[in-house]
Amino acid sequence: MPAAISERPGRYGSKGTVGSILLQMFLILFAFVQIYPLVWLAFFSLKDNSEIFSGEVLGLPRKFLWSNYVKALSEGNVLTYFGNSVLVTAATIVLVLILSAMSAYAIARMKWKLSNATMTLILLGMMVPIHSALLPLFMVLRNLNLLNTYWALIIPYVAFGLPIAVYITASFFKSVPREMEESAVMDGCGVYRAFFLIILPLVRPALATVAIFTFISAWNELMFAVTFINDTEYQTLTVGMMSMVGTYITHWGVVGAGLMIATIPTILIYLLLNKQVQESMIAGAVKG
Amino acid sequence: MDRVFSNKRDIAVFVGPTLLLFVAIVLVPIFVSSYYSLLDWNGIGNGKFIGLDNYVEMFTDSRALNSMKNSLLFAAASVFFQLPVSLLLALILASSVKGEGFYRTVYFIPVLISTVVIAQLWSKIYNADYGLLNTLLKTVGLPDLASDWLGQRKTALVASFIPILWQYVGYHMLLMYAGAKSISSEIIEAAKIDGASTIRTAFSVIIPLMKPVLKVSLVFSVIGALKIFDLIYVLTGGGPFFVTEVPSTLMYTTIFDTFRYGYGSAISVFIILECLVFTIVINKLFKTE
Amino acid sequence: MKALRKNVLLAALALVLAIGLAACGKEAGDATTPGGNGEGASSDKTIELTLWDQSVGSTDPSAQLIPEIVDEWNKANPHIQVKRTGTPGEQYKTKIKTALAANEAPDIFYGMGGGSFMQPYIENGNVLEITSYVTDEVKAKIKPGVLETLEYEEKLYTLPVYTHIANLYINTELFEKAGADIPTTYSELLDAVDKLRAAGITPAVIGEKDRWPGMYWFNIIALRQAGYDAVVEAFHNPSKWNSPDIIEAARKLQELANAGMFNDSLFSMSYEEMLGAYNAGNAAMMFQANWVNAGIEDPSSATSGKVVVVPFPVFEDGKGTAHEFLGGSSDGFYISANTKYPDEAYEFLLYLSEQLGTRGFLAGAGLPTWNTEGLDTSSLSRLDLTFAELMDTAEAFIPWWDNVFPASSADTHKNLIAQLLAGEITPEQFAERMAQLEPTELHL
Repeated sequence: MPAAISERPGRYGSKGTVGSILLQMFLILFAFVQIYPLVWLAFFSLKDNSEIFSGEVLGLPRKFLWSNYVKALSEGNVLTYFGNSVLVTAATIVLVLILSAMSAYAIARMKWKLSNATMTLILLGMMVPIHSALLPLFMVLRNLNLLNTYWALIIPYVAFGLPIAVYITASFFKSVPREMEESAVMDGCGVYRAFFLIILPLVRPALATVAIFTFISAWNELMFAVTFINDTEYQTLTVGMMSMVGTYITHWGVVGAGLMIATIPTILIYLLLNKQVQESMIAGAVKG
Repeated sequence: MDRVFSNKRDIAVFVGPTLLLFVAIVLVPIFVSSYYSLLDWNGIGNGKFIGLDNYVEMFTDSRALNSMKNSLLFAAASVFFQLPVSLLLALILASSVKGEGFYRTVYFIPVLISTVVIAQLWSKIYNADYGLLNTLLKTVGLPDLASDWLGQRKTALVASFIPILWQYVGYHMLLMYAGAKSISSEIIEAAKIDGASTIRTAFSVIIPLMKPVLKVSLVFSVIGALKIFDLIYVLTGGGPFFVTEVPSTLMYTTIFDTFRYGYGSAISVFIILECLVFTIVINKLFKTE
Repeated sequence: MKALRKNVLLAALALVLAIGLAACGKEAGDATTPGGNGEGASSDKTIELTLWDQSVGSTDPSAQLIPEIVDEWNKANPHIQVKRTGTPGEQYKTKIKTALAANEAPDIFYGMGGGSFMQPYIENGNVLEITSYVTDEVKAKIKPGVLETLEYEEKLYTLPVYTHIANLYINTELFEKAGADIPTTYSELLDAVDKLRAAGITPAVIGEKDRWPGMYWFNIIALRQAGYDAVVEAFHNPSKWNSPDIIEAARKLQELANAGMFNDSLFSMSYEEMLGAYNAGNAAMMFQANWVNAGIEDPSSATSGKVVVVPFPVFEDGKGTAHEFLGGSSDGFYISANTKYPDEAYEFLLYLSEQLGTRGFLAGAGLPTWNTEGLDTSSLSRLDLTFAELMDTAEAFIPWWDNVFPASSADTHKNLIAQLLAGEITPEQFAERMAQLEPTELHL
């Protein structure tokens, strides 16, 4: 295995000290710009209104009002919502991984006339504004009798998550040397065995990336969840958070706590999969 | 070998389920929307067929035209402001500065957050009375600059661009970083030996070799800008006085506030076609070079 | 290889789990398909009705009451079970409209104020007519005159719940600080604005980002200036919007804005932020409807116990009186025409409307439309009681104008007012453009 791309030696050589200090300052400044809004969110999620509205906006909270989080969490049913989000998101990720890996492989590797056309068709899915699909999808789901079930969310999430998943995975497949499959075939593997046992493991970074992109969009999705699900038992976290925000809109502290609760899982998962994601974006993107 | 990889039944098994799902969930709604776009329909009962009238209205209504202008401005801002910053950061990080891994991670974090959360967060930042921005300005002694960022015509549009530019800088940076890192070191060395400075190396060697990545970034950021909805809707609702309205928000209010499903569907078809056209154009641009 | 096999197995397991759980979800889902398909428990004849509403959130008294009422009904009626879904306001709109458009509306649902929201659905036959169900006995329990306001072309589609009117909220503490008197006339209002500004207090707060808070101000000013009859006439004959009284009303609104009446941030402030600002004591006045009472009197608000409510000032040169109120219509529940159980749905509708109407009044959610004799009103706040008193002095009501206008005219109307507030159009231009709106389809 070639050395991981991020570990290759750099090429610009060493800069002068002043230059490199200035450079660091610039980078730190930018990092600050990227991160501070979130830090600010974390801070005011622990403050109470009088602190926020009195202009004490910038600093650390005087007391750590964990009760804001308690309030946000006790807005009935949060645990149910959380569980539903986990279920729907997990199912979506699994299905997207399987379907996109298979179709990306077919497009990238198998020989058939329509492969490029199919890729373009699937990419079309990225261009559709979600709200225009709302009513037609509602009717489709209604006709299939799937409204108000987990499938009402899983199916659209998977369908709309496929374009970018297929795109990334296909790019990655293109960069895998053909020798792997050739040797597998020569050893007598059929296509299916070759695919599942040999090829798939090679594209693990791509799968990790697809997993996290799918996670982000499924976990954070709002519109479909509101429209296709009625019963609280199936409702997801984003909807719960939005209605809590609506209720407490004037209590910035509680709103902040709710937003943090919705955001923290994503950040945690990212930190876990970090290395994989970056590796695959690197390799996948190059083949464009 | 070829026979193994061109077996039609196998191909069908691999691609079939995806295509089936895709057609049912993505394509069918597109067709249905296209059909609605030819109607004058209020969502209840039957609509009246009016042919292309909705499209004519769209291209002659000043509010719709304004929204299109805004989305194009947005795309331009993404391409000319966001992408260069991403590129600069990518190149810097690709040159093995100290803390490379840390910066890469930190810059990417905003991408993870739901757009709705981002919109809520930034509307607090821009809040005229208690927001971060105005408080900062007052603290550093510039109270006159503090204003109602999202409530005034002149500032609202730019104010609403900034959050999304902020959010996705890290995303494009990562893509470009990947592209830059993968350029073989021999080429760079060769340029160095020829006496090229860092900047010249960047422009004449690295960037041209990054073209595939740049193309991808360009397509994603343009499509994202043309389609944008959540952020604008939560931040400003398209206001004040429609200055921040974009086609998606116009489509949403048309359908759900004023009951005009036909016209709203026409707008959505327009958005899809717009994205398609830009993708094709960008692809062509990169091919000819 | 081993690791790979484990990975594949894990993935397969996850998939099976997901499918399994989703399948369970599906079975339960079948039993709760909207439209009242009570196929769930087939042995006993239990039917299930679905109810959708938008009362969600801790500051809305209905949000607590509705689940209670549903529970009580379910206990008392084991064969008619009601299942309720509450969705917050903005998303509720999308949800119910999508469902209605797809003919998948729940049995009973909440419909916003009599006018532009429900009308198209009534006309198209999506809503069940209930005129024949409403017995004289029921009519006797409802306050006189209320049912007539709910009729559409002389037929009934809903029952009253509680109602709201808009009045001027005054923060007495801030007024005292500025040495200002509670205004009863327009010139006194201007005077109060000056004194409040001089004391560094924002006279009034509007959350104009949502555009309807500002509309309330214009609506009442127009009512005071032109009088009830002229406004009603203009609704039926839009060319009358272009008249001296309306122009004068527009001019007064701008005069107030220029005198510094409103907060600078009005265009980026939402309705809820407005409430937050007022309840934190950041502005002296607010013109809103009684649904805000609970928030003002909440112990955590800086305004608790300090706010009184008065009718909007009368104009010396105006034709309107203090007995003409903005508001008075009732947002109620409607039955889907597709329901499989119209009789039972009506029974529940009756129960819900009456219970919510009377208990809502006692909880301060709104003003009563059902008879209130013998009810214990001691739990009502001073604000709620004042509203009830004012209600009794009323001679005429006009609902919020965005409910009276047809949908797209309502939109234009709100935008024109926003432009007026921003000083972007003159009163004359305002009146001209108002004259181009469509007439109301309501029976005023």
